[in-house]
Amino acid sequence: MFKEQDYDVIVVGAGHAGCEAALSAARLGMETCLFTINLDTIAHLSCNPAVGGLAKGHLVREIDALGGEMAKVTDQAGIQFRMLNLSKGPAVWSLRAQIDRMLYKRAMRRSLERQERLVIKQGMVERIVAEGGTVKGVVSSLGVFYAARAVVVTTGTFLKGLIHIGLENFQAGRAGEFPSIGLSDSLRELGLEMGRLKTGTPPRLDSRSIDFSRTTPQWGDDPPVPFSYSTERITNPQLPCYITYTNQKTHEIIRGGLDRSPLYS
Amino acid sequence: MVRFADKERHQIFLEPEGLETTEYYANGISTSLPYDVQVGLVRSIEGLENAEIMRPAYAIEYDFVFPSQLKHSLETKGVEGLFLGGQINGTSGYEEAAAQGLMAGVNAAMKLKGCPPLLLKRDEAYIGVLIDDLVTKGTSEPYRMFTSRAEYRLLLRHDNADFRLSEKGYALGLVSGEAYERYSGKKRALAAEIGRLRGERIKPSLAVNEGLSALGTSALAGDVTLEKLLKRPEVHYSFLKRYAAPPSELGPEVESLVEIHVKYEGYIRKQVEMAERADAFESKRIPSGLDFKAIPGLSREVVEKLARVQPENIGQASRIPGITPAAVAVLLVAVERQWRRSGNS
Repeated sequence: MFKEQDYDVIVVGAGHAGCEAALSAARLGMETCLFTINLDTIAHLSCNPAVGGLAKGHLVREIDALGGEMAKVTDQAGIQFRMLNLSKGPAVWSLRAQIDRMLYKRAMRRSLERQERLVIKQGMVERIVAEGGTVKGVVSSLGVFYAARAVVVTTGTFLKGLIHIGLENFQAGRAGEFPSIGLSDSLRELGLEMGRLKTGTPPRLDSRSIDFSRTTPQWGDDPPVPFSYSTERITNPQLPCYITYTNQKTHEIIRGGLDRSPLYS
Repeated sequence: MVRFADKERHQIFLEPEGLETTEYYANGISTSLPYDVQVGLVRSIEGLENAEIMRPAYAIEYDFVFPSQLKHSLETKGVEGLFLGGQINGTSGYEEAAAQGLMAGVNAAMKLKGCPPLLLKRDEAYIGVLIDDLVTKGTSEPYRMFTSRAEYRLLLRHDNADFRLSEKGYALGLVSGEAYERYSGKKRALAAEIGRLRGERIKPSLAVNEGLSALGTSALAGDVTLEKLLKRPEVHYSFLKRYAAPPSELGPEVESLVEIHVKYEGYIRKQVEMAERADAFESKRIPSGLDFKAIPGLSREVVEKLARVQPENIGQASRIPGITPAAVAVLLVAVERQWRRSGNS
């Protein structure tokens, strides 16, 4: 088997977990390699275009205090910042930011590419190699072996991902992306017990077809409060969100379609 | 969606996807309904009567690893050097994922350097709560963070994360000198201002008493410390700034910290004491490889649960679902006997 390179740490998956894992390992002096199935979807916000919110905002601040990247990237990509729960006690005040998805990805990728000791590779990891109960490295779908003294697996929803839209279903890691099939079996072979979870994401609409005059705009705080303790000022233009409501007709339509919904959610 | 089909109405939050796109995220319409139903559903909503769907809603199912197979360092118990982080551990959310990724990356590096792992306690960080919940309780549905999951909420505020964690991050080499210096400056400013509020007294001048009456609180009869005045629920730091300003501007972050410290001092102290009491259990280590089966008085169900999670200390054992206080007491006696026998603790 062709062996390209040895690393201290290999990180499999470049989502929000993988980016922080790779940066922190490299910052602590490790020769690190970050694998992603697609270089163009690094740090992709695959669900809502927002970071933080109740309790989650606390996590982002903690990541920042430990030298992580999420808060700084959020500040570079944020297009609305709002302090939530100010009517309650200070323990539950929490910051939330709306995010420009493209700016977020670009900012995180910039941080990764500027990090010393960190290599980023597009490739699908098919197998984790272990001997005598100790990890030895990974094998890619091209049959290339990469040795590592530690491997961090951060594959999100990609392991045997199966998308459902009504009775239609297809294998995918996320809408429009390859799933990871072999890696899941490899983890099982290493003795890990696995289960199955499901999650969902709503539709995306074209704003040119929305009548915003019949909705209620909600603006962020002015001036916006940044997430990172080291950000001086938010420089992006700020946008509102809009609020509307479902009604009885909506609920009838939902009930009428349930017999063709594979997963109640 | 089914969950709210019975309610009168449900809020839909339309979020912009970016500055240079017309795409909007319709938060609240998460569904795996067929496409034709999605179109009717969306167009039944006020303002969305003519809405074009750019991407349909979908549901995704995927494999995850039962997280009770992990140590607190996020290393798997079964394979040395293999760490897992994020949704693969059964969580939901970018922030939960990023927090675990950071910890897994740090602990992979710590292991290779031959250093002890970075472990955060439940009274130190939501990250500590997150990881302890996952490895101790496991999860059968996507785990997301709520403030209600933390016992010591008043200690784990979003405004003091740097006070809780910067020193650890700096000692490890993760936090830059510049960021650490900024934090140290804040810490000094906070201490100095609290000292001033305790020492400096304010006199019941006409202006001060008029200001207090405008806030709906009683006038001062004699002089009091600034600290005591700020403890009144109606009085905020902005009042002190007007009538007894600090020698130099503190900035909104430190001002808010000062106010929280003074107003909530009693509650904060109580939570610190609670955490210290709990710490007695957290520091009672369970010897690794302890044979739970051999402990008389533990039910088979309890033994199975202990064997699966392999708790590192009595505190963690007490948080495993189904472990009763009685079982914890039995385990504590057994653990203490074991340590006495081996001559250390």
